[in-house]
Amino acid sequence: MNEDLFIKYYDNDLTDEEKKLFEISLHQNENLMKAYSNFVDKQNKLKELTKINVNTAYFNNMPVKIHQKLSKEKKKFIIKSTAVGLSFSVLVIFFISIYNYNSISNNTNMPIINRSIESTKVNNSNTGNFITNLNSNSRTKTNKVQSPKFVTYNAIEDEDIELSENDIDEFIDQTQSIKILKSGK
Amino acid sequence: MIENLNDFELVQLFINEKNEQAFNLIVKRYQENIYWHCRRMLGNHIDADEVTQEVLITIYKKLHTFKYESKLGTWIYTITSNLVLNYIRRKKIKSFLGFDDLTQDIKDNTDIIQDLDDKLKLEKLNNILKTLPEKQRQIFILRNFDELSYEEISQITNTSVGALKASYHHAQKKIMELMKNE
Repeated sequence: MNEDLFIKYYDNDLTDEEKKLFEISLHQNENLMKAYSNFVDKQNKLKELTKINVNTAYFNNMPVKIHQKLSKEKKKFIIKSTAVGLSFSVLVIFFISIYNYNSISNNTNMPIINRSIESTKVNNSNTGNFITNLNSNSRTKTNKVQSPKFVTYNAIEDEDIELSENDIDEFIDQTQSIKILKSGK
Repeated sequence: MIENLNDFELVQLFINEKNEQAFNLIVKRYQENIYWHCRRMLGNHIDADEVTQEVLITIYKKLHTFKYESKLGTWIYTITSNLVLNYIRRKKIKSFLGFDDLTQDIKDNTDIIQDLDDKLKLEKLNNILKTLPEKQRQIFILRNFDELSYEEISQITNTSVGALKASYHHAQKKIMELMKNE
């Protein structure tokens, strides 16, 4: 119980009134005074343990040490960020190449159109310049004459790419006029 | 003269003008307090040195976040206390996982205390402080050796003054009990 009071008094944690009362009882009670002196002795012994001589060079060199460490950290940071940047760029290039490769191989329209153009060209050369297209896949079911000029359009038509009626009519008109020219009528 | 500037002026000089001299002066003013707080908390020079350097580097990097609402010393003690407690936690995890460092032999040779009597004194103090749990040890050291007020310790540890007093008195009682045998 006394120890709590000693600690509080020593720690200056008593109110003014409590402090006065404690001091009065200290003066009146010899045993209490002895116990308190003993407590203060222990406190002083404890503080004595902290009075130590040290090598001052350690503290004198501290700012230099800190600056060296900081510059090392900066270098490390630069190396790390360069490495991260490089690896990121490599990854980006890698993904772009994969994307390009996929988009080329997935683009199937182009080869089919090209194939159709080729086959139409072959037909043209076999049967002369004028061929009636009887392609059953044709939605228009219209006989169309193929000239080199319209080979590409026919090829597109074969692949179910929509052409307007006007376009088709135009083709037929042109084909007929060519036929007339050819027959000399 | 830069030496005559107070802490706040030094901080401003460092932040606004990147004056390294100002930072060096802050280091000189506080390095011993930081080191001894770490040393008493950790019990050896190697660990104390590591954490002291960590604290000073953190101060260098974070000084621009200092808000001038408390003393610079209180702000520095807050960083120190947090880093010390983190270090103790890391060490506990390492030792739990079996990654204990084998630097015990180096510890004695690199110590900044060369006098044998002083070494014995410090060993005695360490043995006493070791008996306290970390949080209680921290409060006891801040109050008893660093001589900070309860209000300052309250800011540093983010604990109420009442709880601090209770914890400090508890620690005092334990230590007085241990000192009986001395």
